Amino acid sequence: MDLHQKDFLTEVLNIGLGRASAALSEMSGSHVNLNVPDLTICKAEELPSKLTLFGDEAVLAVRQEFSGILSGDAILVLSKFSGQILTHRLFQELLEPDHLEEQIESAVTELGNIVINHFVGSWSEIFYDRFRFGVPSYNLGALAPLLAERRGQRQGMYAIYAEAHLDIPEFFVMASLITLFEQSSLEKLVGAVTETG
Amino acid sequence: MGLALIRYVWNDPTAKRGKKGTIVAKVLIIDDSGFQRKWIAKAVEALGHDTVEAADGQQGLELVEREKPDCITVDLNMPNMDGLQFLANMEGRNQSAPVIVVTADIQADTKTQCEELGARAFVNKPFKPDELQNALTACLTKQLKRSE
Repeated sequence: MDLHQKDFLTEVLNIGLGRASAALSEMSGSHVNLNVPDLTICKAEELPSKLTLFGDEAVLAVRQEFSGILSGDAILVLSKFSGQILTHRLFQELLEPDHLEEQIESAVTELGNIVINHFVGSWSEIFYDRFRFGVPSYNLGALAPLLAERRGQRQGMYAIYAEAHLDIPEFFVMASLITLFEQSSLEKLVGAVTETG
Repeated sequence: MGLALIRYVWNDPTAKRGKKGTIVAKVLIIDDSGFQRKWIAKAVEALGHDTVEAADGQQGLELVEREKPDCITVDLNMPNMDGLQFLANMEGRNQSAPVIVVTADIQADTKTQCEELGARAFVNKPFKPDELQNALTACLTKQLKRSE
């Protein structure tokens, strides 16, 4: 992928991230800082060794499949602390301390669903194609095994690891979005970039 | 079908909820997220309506038969039976309760498909309570006028 292609792809991701951060901001009621994603493109099986953000710590991750002109998985990753903070922000007075873990799962899963739908859904306006989404799944644990799990399911997937932080400094919340594309989708994406000149 | 359950409290001085002239309806909330069901219920109940909840489209259909709701909110992306399948099923059953789609899916084509399947309103998550409340009130008012 040359510089122009990478630049286009960064812009595509940026548009999605803009929508995703707007949704997160509306849900949390706080300003969300968004950085320009630093793209790492590699085979999915190589991804765990490239992760720097969360290391081996247990994280909350919501994974959702999408399909359309581009197909793959998007994963929203939060530190446990960030998940707890956001759950309190989202549930507000509806929070039941006796069911905290269950409510964290419910709130973070829905948060992931909304953020990923806004992230990927915005591409429909770029590619004039509709995307369909799977049911989001929630995972608690280290990120590397979660990503490695994909190897058995979909050989040949490419990972576009956008170290995009959707941070809410007010509450020390840190989130990251990872996108895994099937190889054919990445080729289509590169083709679309090339066509735009 | 469910319209008979809409209760006017116009002349009912004993009514505990609802203001004079308002509609009190039974609203079925279908969403696999417990978090969203709580938020939707909170917004709906703030208007004085009753709520019943289902975690997917299949459960939702069962509750449509049993509870005969006046209005329904439905998520799209759910296990077992998703929102589009639910809408298609409702169309086949000739149910009159208006359906409001409440979804994270922001795509214009998705909205069009929902409308084609009979959805009366479309609210994107995350929503402000008044967005959903306005859609609900508009649907119930329109439904009531149709039956008069």
